[in-house]
Amino acid sequence: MKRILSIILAFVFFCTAFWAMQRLLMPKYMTNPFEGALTAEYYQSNFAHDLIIIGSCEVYSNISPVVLWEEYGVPAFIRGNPQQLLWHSRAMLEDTLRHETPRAVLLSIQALMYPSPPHDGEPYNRMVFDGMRLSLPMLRSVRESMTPEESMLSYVFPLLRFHSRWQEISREDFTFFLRRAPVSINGFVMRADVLPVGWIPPPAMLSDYSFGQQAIDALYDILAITQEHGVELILFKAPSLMPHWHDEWDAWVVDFAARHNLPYFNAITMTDTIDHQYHTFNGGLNLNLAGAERLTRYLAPWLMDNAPSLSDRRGDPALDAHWQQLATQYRAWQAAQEAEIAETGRVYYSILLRNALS
Amino acid sequence: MTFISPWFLGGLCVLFVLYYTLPKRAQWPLLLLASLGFYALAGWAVLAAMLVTVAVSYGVAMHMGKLKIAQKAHVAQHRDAMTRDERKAYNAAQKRQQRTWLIAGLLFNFSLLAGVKIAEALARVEIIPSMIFFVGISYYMFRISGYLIDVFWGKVEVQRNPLKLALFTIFFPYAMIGPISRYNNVADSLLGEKRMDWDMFGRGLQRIIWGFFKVMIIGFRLLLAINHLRAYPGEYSGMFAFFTMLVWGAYLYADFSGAIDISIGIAMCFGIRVEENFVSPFRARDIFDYWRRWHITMGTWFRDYVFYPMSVAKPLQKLPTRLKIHIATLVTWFTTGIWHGVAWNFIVWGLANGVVIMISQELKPLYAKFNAKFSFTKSKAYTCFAVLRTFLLLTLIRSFDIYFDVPLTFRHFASFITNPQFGAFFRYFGENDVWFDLAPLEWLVAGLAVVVLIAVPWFRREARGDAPAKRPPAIFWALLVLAIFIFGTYGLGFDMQYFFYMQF
Repeated sequence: MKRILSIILAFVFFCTAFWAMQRLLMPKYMTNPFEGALTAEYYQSNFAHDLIIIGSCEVYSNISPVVLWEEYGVPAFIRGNPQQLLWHSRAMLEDTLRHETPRAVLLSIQALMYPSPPHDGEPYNRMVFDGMRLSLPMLRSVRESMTPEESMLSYVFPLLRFHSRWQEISREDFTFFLRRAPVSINGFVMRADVLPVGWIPPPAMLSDYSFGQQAIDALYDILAITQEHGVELILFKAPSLMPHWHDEWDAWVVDFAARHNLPYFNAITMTDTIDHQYHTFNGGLNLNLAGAERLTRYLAPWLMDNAPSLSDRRGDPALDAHWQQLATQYRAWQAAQEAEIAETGRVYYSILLRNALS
Repeated sequence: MTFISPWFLGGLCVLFVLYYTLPKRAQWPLLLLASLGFYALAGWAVLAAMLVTVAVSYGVAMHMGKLKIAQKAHVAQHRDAMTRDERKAYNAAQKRQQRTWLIAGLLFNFSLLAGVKIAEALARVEIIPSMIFFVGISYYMFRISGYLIDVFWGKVEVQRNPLKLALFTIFFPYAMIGPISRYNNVADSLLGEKRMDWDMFGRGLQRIIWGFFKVMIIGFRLLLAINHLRAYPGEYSGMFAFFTMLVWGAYLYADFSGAIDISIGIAMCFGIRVEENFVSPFRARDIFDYWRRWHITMGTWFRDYVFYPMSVAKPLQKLPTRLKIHIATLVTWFTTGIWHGVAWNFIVWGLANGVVIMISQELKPLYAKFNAKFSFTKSKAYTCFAVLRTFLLLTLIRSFDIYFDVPLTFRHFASFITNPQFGAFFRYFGENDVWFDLAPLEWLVAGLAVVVLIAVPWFRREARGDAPAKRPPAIFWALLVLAIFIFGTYGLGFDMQYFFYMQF
């Protein structure tokens, strides 16, 4: 009996210690690359969202949910990650639907250009999945995204991937051991600084403008899932200058949208609204705060016209109070970033951590 | 697929459940199926080579068995009619016939083994394209050949069920890396019906954990440093080369004995006892003692099937006893070297062992006199000296396998004197943040693990084999597993699936 008890105690000790070490050694993503914390932030939001915006950095730094709410009354959340591929987006959608059923989904189709998991895609896979709650759709997406060196088991037990971080443990790992701080506002990553567009490489001529089958399959899956759940699907292309979005690709998306009766908003042509000398923080790849607010103000009326499921929800006291809180945080972060820009000329990642801790 | 693969470990768990829930008569067929599957994963050619070997050996053993039965029956039937000389002549003729069959069987097995080894050697120097990896071929060839010789000698009964013989030959826990089990040692345990023995199962699990600890915390980690050190052999001579040899010894021991621990542990979980292969080899006081502690099953195989038969072979009978023993010793060690691979480094390694053993043999009377005359030779300090002397000697001999280059190894030996680089060696650690591709903290982990490795069996004097004999508390094992998960060398960026001794 004593032996059995000691085995049980040792097992309990092992499980607890394993959990604690996993928690300690997993990257907290509170500083660079802080984007890895975005997936998990979704679970902190207790309010339902009418619009879920899914995509890569083409959405998480380009659309402001606060402006969308304050000016059009659409409660939205962005589920985006760097280099989020379409099968990642499908996992995001499936994960979202396990928690809520939004009225509409705005999907960035830029990732159609990536035919298969890139060889250097492991860090991006980790950022997408490390914060995601374990589920079968998640594991399916992991399987489709994994590079040959990765193992599925390391997504179930991240300690298997991050155990070698024992040499790099820092204060951040202890500070955020139990609780993470927010790095976004409803998935929106704010950057108030400006890095104007410089030299843009000329678009490469491609021998074949077809999209990869894996990406197309994921898009069809997303379409089927939204139809199954009665969610309106809206396609979106952000006004990025790089990587180049070919006309042939756009024609395919236009055709796809027409065939399936989906609204498609291509913001590349917004040259009168977006000026990449002022509205980008990384040379034309993504928009800064000013650019994101401009794009949101341009996109929102189109959404209200083309997505009948969306309506103005302002006036709901609970929602108003919640969004007021978010707006206050938004302004505070903006002020902090503007102060740092005035002092140093740009926003460093440290301020994001300060924002997070505030 | 090796012990390190998650698929292997997952499959093993399923197998344990099936093994103890299915009817007992299904136990050995289940293990055979698992072993066949294991070999099939290594490649169909590997499986085919193994099955052909088993089929031929089965046929030869059965035929030898029939000849023995017929011989006995004939002698019994004609006991009164035959004179003593006639009986002797008849038995000798029968024995010759059996020997012919034995030689045919062994020739077949060793031709196949030699063919694979030669092809591997040619592929290494790119004379022929690289071929598939015949995992564990030396181990199962020796296992089945030992069985054939034992049948010939009448030490074991012929196994009439070819499937049971196949299981003895390819039982998957010892398939890749040994130990080289003997039929009479494992057959009952392997082929018999077993009840769940929680005590043995627990010990088996502990042995597996202990093996993983050695392999993943010490072995694979040190291999990273060794790969760096042997990538720049010209740069790392003198003290650097000596350091490489020390690290190589620690790596080889952790890697090989760890894999053997896992192998033995898995067998124990199935209720099967296989032979020990290591008993604290670095505590050996002389080279004889060392070879009674390191790769024991290989040593005893060559002793019983090569050395002893050679020592009593007719052609050597006319020679003086000492010369006879020295010739047998050299031939045995030459063969041992060749067993490791058709390469000069293995041959020189084998011969170096043989020469040192011969010299030690010659010096034995002198040592005996010396020990009798000086009482300090019975002190602990002298024991420590003897252990250290043996350790250093074997470290030098073992180093032929580091570079796979005999002249280079000799040049490094010479550099201990001609260009020791003492200053450069010690400055290296001060001037670099990473030491031979490993961060200082990595060296610290490896060093602490070596301390645990030494401390655990050494503090428990009754230890048999390289595993803690006394049962440490359950919490010790929980901590060890946690340490393997955290400090183990595995995951992204590491391709550490193979053990050094798997190539043999």
